[in-house]
Amino acid sequence: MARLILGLCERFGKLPSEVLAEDAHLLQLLAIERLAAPAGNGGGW
Amino acid sequence: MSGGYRPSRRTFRLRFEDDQYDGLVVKVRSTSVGRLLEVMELLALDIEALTAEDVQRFAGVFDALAEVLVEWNVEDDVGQPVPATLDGIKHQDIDFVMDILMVWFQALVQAPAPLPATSSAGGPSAVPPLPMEPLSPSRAS
Repeated sequence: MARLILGLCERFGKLPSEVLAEDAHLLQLLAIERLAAPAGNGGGW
Repeated sequence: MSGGYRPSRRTFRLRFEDDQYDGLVVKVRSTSVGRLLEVMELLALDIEALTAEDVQRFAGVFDALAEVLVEWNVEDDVGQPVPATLDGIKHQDIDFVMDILMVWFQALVQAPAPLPATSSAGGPSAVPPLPMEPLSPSRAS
């Protein structure tokens, strides 16, 4: 979970507090991205 | 002037695959990444070895559902509507509450199901995989 949050902070250039306040739809976007990622390159969180 | 800005949240009508929930209507709103992760952490508690503190924390699961529950058509044993409130939730079977939570999680974080292979390219799909409605400002209070 910490890795997920820190990864999102790094990716969007936001503080953890900002990432945590974001709508959970963000997690769905990540799930869609993972589906589209080439095999072996989609387990980022 | 109130001064603050409260971001609106999407609302979902949950879709239950299980036949036992035919006719059940549950509308919930989205939540923040932080709140969702908190609830997921609560649900990961070891039920077999709960401490008194854990039990108190686990009650937070009901609070979380009450925060996002917009409406439902649940009735009590004599056919009276059960309010979509914390009190109404607490009077439900725990399995029922957990099933609602699980479907809510799925609606929030799972990728929508792919369109059927027979779907024609280019046109909009007739039924979106995750039905959503814009949250009216009056419900944001």
